[in-house]
Amino acid sequence: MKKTIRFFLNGKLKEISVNGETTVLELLRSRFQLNGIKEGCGEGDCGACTVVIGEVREGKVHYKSVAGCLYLAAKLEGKHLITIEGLAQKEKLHPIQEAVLNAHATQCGFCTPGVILSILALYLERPNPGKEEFRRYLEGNLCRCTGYASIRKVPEYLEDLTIHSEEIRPAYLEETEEKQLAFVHEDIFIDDGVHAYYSPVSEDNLEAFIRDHEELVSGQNLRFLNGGSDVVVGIKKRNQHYRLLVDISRILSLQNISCRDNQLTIGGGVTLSEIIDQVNSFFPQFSDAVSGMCSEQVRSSATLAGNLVNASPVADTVPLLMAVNAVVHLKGCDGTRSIPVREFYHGYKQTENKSDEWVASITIPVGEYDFIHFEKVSKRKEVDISAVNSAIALQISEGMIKKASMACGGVGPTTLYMPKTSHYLEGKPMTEETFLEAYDIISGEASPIGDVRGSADYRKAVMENLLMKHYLAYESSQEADGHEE
Amino acid sequence: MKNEQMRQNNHWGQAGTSPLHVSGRDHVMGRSQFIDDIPKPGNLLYVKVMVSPVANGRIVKLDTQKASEMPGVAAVLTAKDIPGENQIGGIIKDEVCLAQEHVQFVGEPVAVIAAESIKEAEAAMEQILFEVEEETPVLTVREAIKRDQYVGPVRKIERGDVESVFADCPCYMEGVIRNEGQEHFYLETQSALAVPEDNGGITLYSSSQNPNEIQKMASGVLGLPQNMVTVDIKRLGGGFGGKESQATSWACLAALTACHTGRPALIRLTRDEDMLSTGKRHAFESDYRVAFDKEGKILAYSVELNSNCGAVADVSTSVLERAMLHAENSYHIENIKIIGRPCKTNLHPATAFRGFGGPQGIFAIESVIDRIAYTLALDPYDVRMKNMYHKGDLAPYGQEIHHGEDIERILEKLRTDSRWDERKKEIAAFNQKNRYEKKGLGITPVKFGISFTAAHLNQGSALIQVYTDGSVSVTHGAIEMGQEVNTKIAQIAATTLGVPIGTIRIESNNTKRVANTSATAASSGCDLNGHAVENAALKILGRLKELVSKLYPGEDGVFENGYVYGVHEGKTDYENPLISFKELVQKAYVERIDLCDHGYYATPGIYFDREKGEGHPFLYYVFGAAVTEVTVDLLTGRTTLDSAHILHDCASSINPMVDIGQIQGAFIQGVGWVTTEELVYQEKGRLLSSSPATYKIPTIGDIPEEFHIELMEGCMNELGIKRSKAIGEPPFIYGESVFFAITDALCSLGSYPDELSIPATPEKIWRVIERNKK
Repeated sequence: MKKTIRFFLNGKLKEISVNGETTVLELLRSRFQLNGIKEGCGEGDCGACTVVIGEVREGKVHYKSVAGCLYLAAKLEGKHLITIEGLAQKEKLHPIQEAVLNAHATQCGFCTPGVILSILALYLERPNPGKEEFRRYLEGNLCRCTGYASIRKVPEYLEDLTIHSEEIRPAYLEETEEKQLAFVHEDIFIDDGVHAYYSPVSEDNLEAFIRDHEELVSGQNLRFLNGGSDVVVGIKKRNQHYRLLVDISRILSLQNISCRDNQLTIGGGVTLSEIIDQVNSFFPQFSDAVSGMCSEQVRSSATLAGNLVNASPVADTVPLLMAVNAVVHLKGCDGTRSIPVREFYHGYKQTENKSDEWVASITIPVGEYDFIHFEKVSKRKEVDISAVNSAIALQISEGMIKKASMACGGVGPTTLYMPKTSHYLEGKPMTEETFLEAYDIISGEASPIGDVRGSADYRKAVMENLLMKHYLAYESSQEADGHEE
Repeated sequence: MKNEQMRQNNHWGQAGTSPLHVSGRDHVMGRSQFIDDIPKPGNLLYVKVMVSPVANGRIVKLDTQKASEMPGVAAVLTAKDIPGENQIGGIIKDEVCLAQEHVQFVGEPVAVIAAESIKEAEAAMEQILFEVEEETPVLTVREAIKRDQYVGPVRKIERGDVESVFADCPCYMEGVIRNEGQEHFYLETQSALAVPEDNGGITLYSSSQNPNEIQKMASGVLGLPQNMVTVDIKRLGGGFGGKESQATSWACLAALTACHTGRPALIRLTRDEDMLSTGKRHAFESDYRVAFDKEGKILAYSVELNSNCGAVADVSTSVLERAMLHAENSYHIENIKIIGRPCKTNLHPATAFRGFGGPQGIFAIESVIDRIAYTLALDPYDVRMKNMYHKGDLAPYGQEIHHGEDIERILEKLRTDSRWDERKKEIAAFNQKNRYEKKGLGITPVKFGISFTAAHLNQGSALIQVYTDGSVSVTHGAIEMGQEVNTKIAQIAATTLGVPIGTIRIESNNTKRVANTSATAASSGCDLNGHAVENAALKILGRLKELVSKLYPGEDGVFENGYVYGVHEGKTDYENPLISFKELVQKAYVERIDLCDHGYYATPGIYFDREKGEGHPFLYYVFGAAVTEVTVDLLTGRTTLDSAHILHDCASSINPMVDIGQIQGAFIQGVGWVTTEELVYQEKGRLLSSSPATYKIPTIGDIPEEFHIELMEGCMNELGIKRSKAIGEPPFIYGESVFFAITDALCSLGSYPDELSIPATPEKIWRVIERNKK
C-alpha cells in the first residue's frame, strides 16, 4: 500500500505526502502557492474554488469540474489537476481566458478563475455546448458583480476565437493523457495516527483491509466516502472527524450502469453527472431530477449512493426511487443484503446500513409505469436544497389509474412513502378532480416541521399542491404527445 | 468578428470607447492578488476573532488565561489590551472595537486569538471562558420605537401641508410597506493583513472601500499618529457597500495583533463568520398616508421611514437621509412629509449597500403608486406618467431636478420598447386562460441623486507621475472593487494626456500617496477622483504644452494617442506629428520641467441643512427605468423572471461596456434582494441563513432569457467627468420592478397583496395566494 500520492498538476508529475483531510483548495494554496483558486464559502456552494480534474474512465481521459474545497487531495492519485495557472502559455492567453476578457465577463475577478475552469471543463467534454449545457456547467459559479449576462455571452466570443476545437485543449494534455492511461493504480493508505485515509482499488482489497484493521473500523471510527461532498463539509465546517476515511471512488466494480430485463442497475460509485448523461435513455425523469441537484462541480464527484446514505429528508433522488420501488444492495465483510429504498430509512439521518457496509448498487425497475414525475420546490431554482420534493409513478389504462405510487421529501424525518395516497389514487379516473380529492388523504399522511427553508404550513400546502403539479405535468405530456401525432 | 470589432472600436482607450478591464488579464490568469493571496511573511500569525453568541447582555466573565497558554498561541487580546481608544464609530462614536462590559449583537467581536496556524487559534478560542448575563434583545423597529431607542436623531423633510389635504381629499389610503435586509455577498470575505514596520509604524492591507477611515480608526485604536499608519489597497473581491465601514473592525484587530506581537497578522473571515458578524442592507418598515384624485394624481404623501439600524450607528443616519431624499422618487408631489427614524436594535449593525437607502425610500413610493393604480383600476404606467417630474420642478428639499425632462422621455420610449401595452393585453389573456399560473408586468422608474449627502465627503485626489520613457503612474482616491473605476480613470488620464491607455498604470490606493480620501461609495468614485486625475493631468499637460510652443513656435499642440500634432487651417494634422509624447517628456525632463502633479477636486455648490430639511445635496441626477415580466406558479409560489427591459441614462458614457456591465450586475443584485435572498433570524437575533447553503443569491439560471439594456441617447451632463454620469447604484433599483411584476400577477387573484414584502419568496407569495382563497 502506497503512502504518497502521485498526480499531474498542469501537465507535470507530482508526488506528495498529504494528510487524509487535506483538500485540493488547501493543497494548492498552501503547498504549491498557486493562489488562483479562491475560497468563497468552503462548502461547495459558490464555485470560486473550481478546478478541472482529468481522470480515466472506460479507457479514455474525461474532464470534469470539481469544487476544490470539497475534493480531498488524496483523491488526486493518477489524476490530472488543471488550475487557472495551467492555461496561459507565458503571456499568451488561452482562448477561454481571452473570450472572458473580451466579453467583459470579469469585474472584481474573484470568481473569474472558477468561471473559466467551469467553461474549460465543459468544452473539454462537450466541444459544441448548447445553452442548456452552458447553464448546467456554470450554475455553480456564483458571481455577485456581472449579473451573468456577460458570462452567458462568452461562448459567442469563444466561437469567434477558436477555429479548431483542439485549441481549447492545453498543449500538455496529450502527453499527460498517455501517462494517465498507463498509470497503474494501487491501494493507498495514509495514517498520521489521528486521521487515516484508505483508498482501495477493489472490493476484495477493501474486505481484506477491514478484516485486518479491526481497531480502525470499529464503532464510529470509520466513514465511507466517495465524492465526499457531505463528509468533507462535515469535517471542515462541523468538526466531524473520523479515525478512518475509506474512499471507495477508485473501485471500478462499483462504477457500472447497466439496464437488462427492465432492471436498471446503478453502481454504488456512479456519480450524479454520470446519471444525468447515461441514465437519461432508461429513466429520463430520474436524470432530470438529478440535474436539479447541487452544481456540476459537486455532481461530478457526488454519487447516488452518497445521496441515499446521507439520509437527508430532502434528498432529491429518494422520492423517485421510493415511488418506483428501487432496491439498495449493501455489501460488507459478512456478504450482501438487499433492502428496498422504502424500508431503508429508520428515522432522521438513520439508515439501514451499518458503518462498515458500503452500497454496492441500486437496482431500479423501469418500464413498469406509464407516467412518472418528480417535482421539487426550493427558494432558488438552481443549486438549492428542496423545501419539499415529491415523486409519483402511475400505471394508467383507458383513463383510469391502475397502480399508483407516491413519495415526498421535506415533510417528515425521512423521505416518506405515501401508502394511503397511493392506494387512494388507484382505481380512480386520471382527472384533475381525483388529484384535488387526494389533497385530504395526503394531508393526513405527514406532519412537516418548519426550518430555515420553509415553515410547517407552507410545506404541508406544497406537499398537497405538488399532487396537482404531477397532474398538470401529465396533462401537458398528453398534449405534447398529441402534437407529435 | 466580435473580438476584432471590439479592438477597432477601442482605438487607444480614450473616454467614450470600451477598452478592456485594466486588470482583466491578471483576473483571467488568476494572478490578481486579493488580501489572502499576498505572499505570506515567514513569521505570519493567523488571527481568529471570538464573537458574542448572544444578542444582548452584560459580560460577567472573560477569562483568556487558559487560551493564551495553548500551543502555538502568540496572543489573546481583549478590550483591555487596546493601547489607544476602543472606538471605531465613523459618524457617531458609539462603536467599540472589542466588546467591553456589554455585548449588543450576535457576532460582535469580543477577543482576538493570534497563533501560528488557524487550527491552533481555533483550538485556543474554545478555551476562552466567556459568560454573559443575557438580556432580552430588541429586534424590530416597532419595539425600538416603543422604547424610543434610536442610533441618531429623528429627521423630517416637509413641503406644503399634508394634513389639510388629508382632511379633505377625493381619495385616501394608508398602510405599511416593508422590506427586509440583504447580505452583500462579496465573493472575497472580510480580510486584513497588518505588517509592523521597524519604526513603530504599521502597514495595513485591507479589503476595504475606505482606506482613510481605516487609517484614522487604526491610529486611534493603537494610539499612534495617523502618519504612522499606512493603508494600501489594490483591489477588493467585491464590496457593494459592505466594506465601506465594516472592513474597519477587522483591519483594526489585525493592527492591534501586529502591534502587540511585533509580527505580521492576517485575518480572513470564513463565509459564515462574515455573514454572522457583518451588517446588511437596512430593513425598513414604513407607514404611509396618501391623498389622490380620481385620475391618480397624488395630492399629498406622508411617509415615516423606520429603518432597522442594528446595534450601533455605523452609517445608518446617512443611509436614512438618502432614503428620505429619495422618498418621492421621480414624482412631483406638492404636499409631502417625510419622517426618518433610525431604530436601534440588537442585530448586526446595518450598513451601506448599493443604493444606500435610496432603494428603500423609492420602494415605498413605488408601492404606493401601484396601490393607487389598483384602487382606481388604472394602468400603473399611466399613474406614474401623471405624477412625473417635469422640467423646472423642485424636489421636496428645494433642489431643482436638473434635466428632469429626461425621465419622461425615457419612460415614453421604454413603453414602446418594452411593448408595455401589448404585453398587458397578452398577460390578461394568459391569466384568463391559466388557473395555476399568473403573469404580471412591473415598472420602476428611477431618479437617483449623485453626491455624498454629507457635503464634506465630496472631494477627490490624485497623484500622477510621468516617467521619462513616457509611461504614466496614476494613484487616485477610489478603490477598485470590480466596478472598473480603474479602467475609467485610466481612460480619463489617457484622454487628458493624449496617450494610449496601455501606457497608464493605475497604482494601489495608498494613504502615503493620496491622503484624506473619501470612501469609494455613493457611485461617486469615478466622478470625484476622475476629476482629480483630470486636474492633475491638466497641470502636467499645461507645462508640456508650454514646452511645445517653445519648441514649435506658433503651435499649441494636440495631444492624442501618444503623439503631439500641429493644427493647420483649423484642422489637426494627423499625418505629420510634431513629436511623440515620449520624446517630448524626455525633453521636458532635461529642461527641468516637473512631470508629476497632485490633483484635487471638490464638488461645487452642494449643501444640505438637516435641521430644516432643505438644500442642494446633489450635483445632478441619474435617470432610467425598467419593465419586467414574471410568471408566478400558484401551486408553489415560485416566480420566473421572463423578460427585462432597461433604459438607462449615462449621459456620455466613459466606457459603455463597463456601464452596461454595471447595469446588468446591479439589476440582478436587485432581483435577488426582492425575490430569493432571505435573511432568517431565530427568535433571539442570531442569523440562521449564514452561508450560501441557505442564503440564495441569483445564479446564471435566474437571469431572464429576454434581457435588453440600452443606454438612453440624447441625455446631457455638463457637470460630470467627461460629461458622463455615475453608474454604480441607480440600476440596482430596477430590480424592484420584479417585485411589482409579482404583485401585478397576484392582483389577478382579486385583491392587492398589501402584506407582501421584500423579499417575495415562494413561501410569502404562497401566503398571499392562500389568503385569496379564503
